Amino acid sequence: MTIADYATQLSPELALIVGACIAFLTGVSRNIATRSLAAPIAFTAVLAAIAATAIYGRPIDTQLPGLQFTTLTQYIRWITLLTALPLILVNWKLPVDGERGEFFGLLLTSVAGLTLTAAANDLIVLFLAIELVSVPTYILVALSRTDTRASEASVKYFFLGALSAAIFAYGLSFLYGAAGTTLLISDTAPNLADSFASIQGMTLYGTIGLLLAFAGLSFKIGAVPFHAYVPDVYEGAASPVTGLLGFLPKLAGFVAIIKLLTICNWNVPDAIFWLIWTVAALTMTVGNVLALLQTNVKRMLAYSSVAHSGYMLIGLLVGPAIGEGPMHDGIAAMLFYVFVYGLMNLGAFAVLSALSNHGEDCETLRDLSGLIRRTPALAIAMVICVFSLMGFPPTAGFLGKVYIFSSAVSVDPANTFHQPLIILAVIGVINSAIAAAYYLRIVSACVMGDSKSEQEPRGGAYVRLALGACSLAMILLFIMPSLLANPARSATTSLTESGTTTLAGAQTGGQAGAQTGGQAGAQTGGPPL
Amino acid sequence: MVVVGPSKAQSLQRYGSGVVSGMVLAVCRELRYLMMAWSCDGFERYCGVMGESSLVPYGAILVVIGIAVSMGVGALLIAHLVRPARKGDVKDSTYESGMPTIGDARQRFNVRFYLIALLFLLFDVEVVFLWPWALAFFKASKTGEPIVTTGGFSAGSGTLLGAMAVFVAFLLVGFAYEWRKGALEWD
Repeated sequence: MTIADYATQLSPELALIVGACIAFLTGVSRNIATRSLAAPIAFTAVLAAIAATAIYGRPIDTQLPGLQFTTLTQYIRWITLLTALPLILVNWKLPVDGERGEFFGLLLTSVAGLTLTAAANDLIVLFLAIELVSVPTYILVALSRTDTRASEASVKYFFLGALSAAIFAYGLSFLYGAAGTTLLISDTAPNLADSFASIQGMTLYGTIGLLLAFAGLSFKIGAVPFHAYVPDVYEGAASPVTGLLGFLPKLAGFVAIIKLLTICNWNVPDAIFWLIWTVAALTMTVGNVLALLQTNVKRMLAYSSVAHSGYMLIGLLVGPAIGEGPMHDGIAAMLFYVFVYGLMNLGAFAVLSALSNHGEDCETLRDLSGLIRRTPALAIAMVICVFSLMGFPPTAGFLGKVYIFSSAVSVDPANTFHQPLIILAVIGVINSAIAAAYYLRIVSACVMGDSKSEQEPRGGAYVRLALGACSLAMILLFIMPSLLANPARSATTSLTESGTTTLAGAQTGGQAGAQTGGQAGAQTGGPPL
Repeated sequence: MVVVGPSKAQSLQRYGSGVVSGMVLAVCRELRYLMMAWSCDGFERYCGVMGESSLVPYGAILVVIGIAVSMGVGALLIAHLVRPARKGDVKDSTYESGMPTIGDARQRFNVRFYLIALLFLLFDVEVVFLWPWALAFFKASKTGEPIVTTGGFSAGSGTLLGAMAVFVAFLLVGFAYEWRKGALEWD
């Protein structure tokens, strides 16, 4: 393998990074016309990265040192880059002159970090990629507004992020100590997957390492008890950046957890299963209950973001069922949901950023009151996105929730964790009902409230374009879910060697399932849903 | 003369003696283990008790830690036993024969210093990557054979030069940015 392999396999990331460098350099130009080029450059770079993914982005067998390009990598690349386009559109006019270069350069860097996280095959690369996603987001929060609230949010986010990175790195050091290597998966060299393939191989150090790494990543996904920063940071940052925070760090955290559970072949000690189970149940409940108490829409959506992490953790607990599709495959359901969540969350925040109240961001329910009489298009988009967040048909959010809950109840009844997963699904459904209460408050404010507040729409055509794309995607993915469900199904094929398994697979029935359902499904490519 | 209160000094001393006695106890325990290890089957058994057998190579580090701790504690202990005990405001001051201290060291520093530290870090860390590259490039250009890593990656001297050019180009972008942004100007 030569440098040409690097150039072709990493071409999407190279396109993003080169675009980021150009954006940085235009940012310090003395010519105002050049300075304002940053956003178009970022948009072009993402388009170039999409083209590179389409041309060169195929899963390959030869591994580059520290990197591995699997079907999961390709899926994450596609959803990241496709979400990056509306992200850039929403942020198009946000940064002030003199900070545009930094803003879009950092945004591209963060996106590149996310695609690298999906390609990481080494603990060190994984850590660096996760930090490459996180560090730019701290700065983006500070750049998003000029007032002190944004600075406060940024500093808070930075210090807590640094703490979580330290915990994560500490966990990785335990994993390295237990296995003696930092390589995740390999056919030839010693690697973590071989060391942790069985519960017996999972020593005390390995368990401690996994626990610490999961704790560090819980911060990135905003799971309880590391959720406390979420509402403050979401409120402090300007709405377009908040839409970004709900997608990039969250997806990076989930991808890293998937990678760590893959090296255990989805067989983890009971303690870790129950830990994630408890975290999932708490995250859903705490997020939704606290969201009920909010009148600030941004804080409400922040707590809803916490709750959505809880739903996604259910999919993670179910684990992959290769070739089964998202109805049975928890990871495919989660991968479906995370993209849908990214878009609907971005859409909701795009509506908030498209409105302003005397130059201030539109934040409270009162600001949204009677929106349908003032700007019907914005109100309809908001209703679509909020219905999708609520999980109400005909939107993709409904399908996402159906996939997650059905994957949880479809676990083999012989499995020890069959019952706990059903209980978790029931908790999830109850939580969806609780969540409807506060989501409907947003809808009722938009549709039924009296139109007293004096907002003028702002943000221009770019925000509206992104908003239209997000809302249309919600409807389109409901009508044609196979557009996303099929890639999500194929994305999980690289996650295990033995086929169907759950986090509890080693206890009972895991082996039987592996021989029958999993392998057969993987070969024939089961039904799309 | 700026004076440190006697109570602070006393508590420091009390705290210090506690730390010292704790250290002595720890050293005694280490020595006991050491003697046990030397007298019985060596470090392997001792380390095997602690956990995994993979800890064996760390036995040497344990010895070094033991020596380091005993030297430090020994120096303090001997000084404590030998030195005359005179007390007083001057004795308790931060620098007995030096300048009187002004204020607290925990004050705010100008944010520029952090900027300088960051810029230093950028070009300092770069060298970490330059050194191994220089060795590999030297070997490749001298023998004419491509360098092959354990991961199976092979690169001739031309490729290596190109890779470093890209790396330096990325650094130069950062350098150009900070220059134009005025990060190198003090005022």
